Amino acid sequence: MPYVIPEVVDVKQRKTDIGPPHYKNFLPPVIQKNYGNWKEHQILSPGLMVHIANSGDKIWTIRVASPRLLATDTLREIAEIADKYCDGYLRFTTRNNIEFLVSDESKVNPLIEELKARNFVLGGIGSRVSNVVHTQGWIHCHSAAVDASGLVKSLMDEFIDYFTTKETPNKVRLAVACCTNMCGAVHCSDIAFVGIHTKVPRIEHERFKDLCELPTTMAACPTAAIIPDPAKKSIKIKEEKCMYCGNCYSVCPALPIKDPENDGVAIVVGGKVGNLRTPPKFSKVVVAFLPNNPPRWPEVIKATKKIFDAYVAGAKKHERVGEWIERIGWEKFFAVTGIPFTWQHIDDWTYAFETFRTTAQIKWVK
Amino acid sequence: MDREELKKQIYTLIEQAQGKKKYKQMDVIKHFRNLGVPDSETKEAIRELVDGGKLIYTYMGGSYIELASKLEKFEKDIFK
Amino acid sequence: MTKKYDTPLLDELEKGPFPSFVTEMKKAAAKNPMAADELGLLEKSFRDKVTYWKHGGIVGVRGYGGGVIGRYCELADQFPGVAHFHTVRINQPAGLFYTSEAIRFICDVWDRYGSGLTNFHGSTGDIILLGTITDNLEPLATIFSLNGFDLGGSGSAMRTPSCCVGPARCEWAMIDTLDITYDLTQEFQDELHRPSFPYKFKIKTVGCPVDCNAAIARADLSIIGTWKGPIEIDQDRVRDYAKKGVNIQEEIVNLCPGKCITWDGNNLKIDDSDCLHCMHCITKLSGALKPTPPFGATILIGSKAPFVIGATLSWVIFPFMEMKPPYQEIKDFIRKATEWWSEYGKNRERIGELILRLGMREFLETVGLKPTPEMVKEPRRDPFWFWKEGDLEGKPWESWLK
Ligand code: HEM
Ligand code: HEM
Ligand code: HEM
Ligand code: HEM
Ligand code: HEM
Ligand code: SF4
Ligand code: SF4
Ligand code: SF4
Ligand code: SF4
Repeated sequence: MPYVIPEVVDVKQRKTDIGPPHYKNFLPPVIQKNYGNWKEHQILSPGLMVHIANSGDKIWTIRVASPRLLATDTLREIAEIADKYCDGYLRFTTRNNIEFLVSDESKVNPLIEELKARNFVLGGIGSRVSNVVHTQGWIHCHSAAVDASGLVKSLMDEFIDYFTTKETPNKVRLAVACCTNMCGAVHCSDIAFVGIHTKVPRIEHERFKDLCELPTTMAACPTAAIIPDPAKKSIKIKEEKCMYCGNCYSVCPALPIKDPENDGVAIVVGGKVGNLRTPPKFSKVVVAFLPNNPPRWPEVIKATKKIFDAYVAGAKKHERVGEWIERIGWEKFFAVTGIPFTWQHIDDWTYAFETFRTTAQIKWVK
Repeated sequence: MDREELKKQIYTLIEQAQGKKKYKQMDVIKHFRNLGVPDSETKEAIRELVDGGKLIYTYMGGSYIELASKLEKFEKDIFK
Repeated sequence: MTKKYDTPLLDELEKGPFPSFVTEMKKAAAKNPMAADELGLLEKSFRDKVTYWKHGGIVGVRGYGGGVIGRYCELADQFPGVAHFHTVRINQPAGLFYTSEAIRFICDVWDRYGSGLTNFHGSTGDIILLGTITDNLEPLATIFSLNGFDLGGSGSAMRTPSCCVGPARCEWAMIDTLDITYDLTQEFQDELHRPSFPYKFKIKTVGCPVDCNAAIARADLSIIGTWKGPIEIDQDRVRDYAKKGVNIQEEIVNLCPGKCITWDGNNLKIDDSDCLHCMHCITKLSGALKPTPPFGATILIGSKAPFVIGATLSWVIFPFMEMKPPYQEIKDFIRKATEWWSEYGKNRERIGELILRLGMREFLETVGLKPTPEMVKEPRRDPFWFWKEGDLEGKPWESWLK
């Protein structure tokens, strides 16, 4: 389909409710032919797999890392590579990787060589660390407590060998959410990072009058910490009730909560979304606060390394982080990682009771 | 109620609520349902007002229907 | 020439082996004044450790209530290029497949009307075009629509549905995730573009219980492919795996949650009546084991992030639904469920929260379903249940005890 960009745009010509283009326009012929008729796949190396159809046809996939934030220059570069080796066909993964789809085996190795020469990083397939699901952070979001892209880059630089070559007991899925909105699905990742606040929002009474509605703002607070302040035509916050979720700020810009010194990063672990072996699990908080320290967040990286290394050393084959922890038990997890157990680890929210230990079954770890 | 009259009343409802109450599409539909207007007619009337550029959808922790003039004012005020 | 900023902190993030977003921003900044100021602003955020963006929920394109995320900079005087810096969400093709031609088209439009910065993709699934001004929104939407693309969803609306790669390139896909996603997206264009719900509503479809798109954790409606037939076993291939060093007992039999596999060193047996359809054995013995029809989907509802009541995972509503075009059953269900939710939901209440508030019974009766054990992990524990008129009519115990 030829794409057209008119010199002069007549906005009256805009069509509405047409939806996205049909996906068939973008499928390589070998996929169109074998759609729904795949037999198996083989992982040939961490950045290369081949899918074999019942017809015997094959398609090779070469996966490279992407920072998700892409300039048009880079998009044009990958389009050019796809033209040269893939008849123009490529795709992206849910975890932001780029996949080149090759139908002609003789082009596989030359493509790999060219990608390496252009400094693309191949990997991420199989039992290892894949790219990080993450949110916008300081690049584009008003509620970010920490940046996302910078933290992702720092993490992946540290774990790059586990993307390109080394294996882990099972896949390790990382995610970053830059505030507790958690746009990113961090609540179900093996190891995830969440930007958090630790102080109550400041109230700009003057702006409140202009910008915010009292009922909406009060209703936004999950703990009912917000009460009216009729004298000021504004609100008060009961400090002892506030859990710094920033929900009220989302509804009312006159309640800023961002704070360079007191915002930080929490680490949650043990979540999974797949149904394999054990049911999907939520991530649980294991580190309640680490300093927000750009550009490389050294404390966060070091803490992650400790958790990651303990998992690689202790898990049996096919165990995800959460399955490993369930087998050894949380008391042992805290012992082997050395993470101090603090007040913040004990739940006092909706599902608190379900997390208390209602049994005398305990492992002695010290 | 005829379509133009309904549109006028919807517009007036939103105009008079400005600064006091924000209406979601469903709130408007329920308001006119109580006056005997079928849901689908109110919905179509809202659509015509929005397509005609008189009303817009805004998003402040939930989507609302507001006067289109709000955008201009908003863009002027935002840098204050 | 665009404005050049000193970026010592961000320069740090150009080092190291993983591809750098800073390098991407610099590429765009070299040609585009908006991108240049975005880079300068980000350096300032890195120095001051705070974000400098303002909320902006009003701007959009004529007729639509979504697809544009309004964004304004708090430091517009210092960084005029990003004073307005709106995001445009373009509805991605299902499965995230592209041709080079389509990619170049998007680049051409975006170099002309925006910052040159993109996300492939946002975590909603849309193509994210980062940074443009209000006046460019209508021309952008027009050009995209003339070339077959439309805006995605935002606001209290149906959000852009998304899916896993499915039958396009995965042998385990038991439903046509791409077709379902395309079809539902087309079916609900009005709900996607004109926010009429109490809050957002997301649909994610995956081909099997591996759930490569995190449907169960990130979608109000999770459609997860599954199967009812027996698992077909190619004994020779299993033996091959054993020969190549897979410890069948440890890695397959012992990890099966249904405890329904046995291995005598030569033959693998599965008691399908106890299989939980988890996919472990099938994925680990790729090519040797195969699910067989009937194929369909488990339909779950309700997942959302932690705000307000705490996070939830989706829970089962339909244990099994056939998923054949034109997908009428799921469409009817979505309409009934969202109408009920629009009627009774409070502002910002997700559908799952409403079900918890009014009760599963209320919801199931609305959509015309009877209770089944597959919907729960276990029956209730307390003795404080409600009775409705007629529950004991027909003496339900009689046919059971006969
Ligand atoms: C403690 C940490 C948690 C983290 C790190 C986390 C992370 C995430 C992440 C990464 C997403 C991604 C959404 C996307 O990519 O579209 C997400 C979305 C979501 N999370 Fe969480 N989450 C956490 C807790 C929870 C909890 C406890 C729940 C619910 C019980 C929850 C429910 C959801 C839901 C429903 C979504 C949907 C996202 C969407 O529709 O896009 N999260 N969360
Ligand atoms: C009373 C005021 C406001 C409330 C209650 C509010 C609330 C929210 C909430 C709850 C969201 C959630 C988004 C989602 O669920 O995806 C949101 C998103 C957003 N808000 Fe606000 N907000 C307010 C004011 C503003 C203002 C003044 C702006 C802009 C100037 C703004 C811009 C946005 C944007 C762009 C999004 C993201 C939209 C999306 O992801 O679809 N908001 N807001
Ligand atoms: C009060 C609650 C929330 C607010 C105020 C909010 C606000 C926002 C805003 C402002 C953005 C746009 C970021 C940008 O492009 O600049 C956004 C994006 C997004 N939000 Fe939310 N959000 C809220 C809750 C949630 C929840 C609960 C989920 C999911 C469970 C979610 C999922 C997403 C996703 C997937 C994106 C796209 C992020 C990306 O592509 O990087 N949001 N949200
Ligand atoms: C309709 C509900 C219930 C009724 C009619 C009921 C009735 C009774 C009766 C008649 C006794 C014996 C008293 C005695 O031996 O003097 C008893 C004891 C007890 N009930 Fe309940 N009960 C109910 C619910 C529950 C529930 C829900 C629990 C726990 C969750 C519970 C926990 C106990 C315990 C632990 C005892 C033993 C007390 C003891 O040994 O001193 N009961 N209950
Ligand atoms: C439908 C709900 C329930 C009813 C009607 C009920 C009723 C009873 C009754 C009548 C007794 C007294 C037995 C006796 O005097 O010997 C009892 C004992 C007890 N119940 Fe339940 N119960 C219920 C649920 C539960 C639940 C959910 C739990 C715990 C999770 C529980 C734990 C106990 C315990 C620990 C005893 C004492 C047993 C003993 O003394 O040996 N009950 N329950
Ligand atoms: S997680 Fe929070 S800060 Fe990050 S993009 Fe989402 S709403 Fe914005
Ligand atoms: S930050 Fe959260 S808990 Fe605190 S007042 Fe605001 S809404 Fe309530
Ligand atoms: S969810 Fe299942 S069908 Fe879809 S890509 Fe993953 S393994 Fe394949
Ligand atoms: S799919 Fe899961 S439950 Fe079923 S036999 Fe295989 S491992 Fe067991």
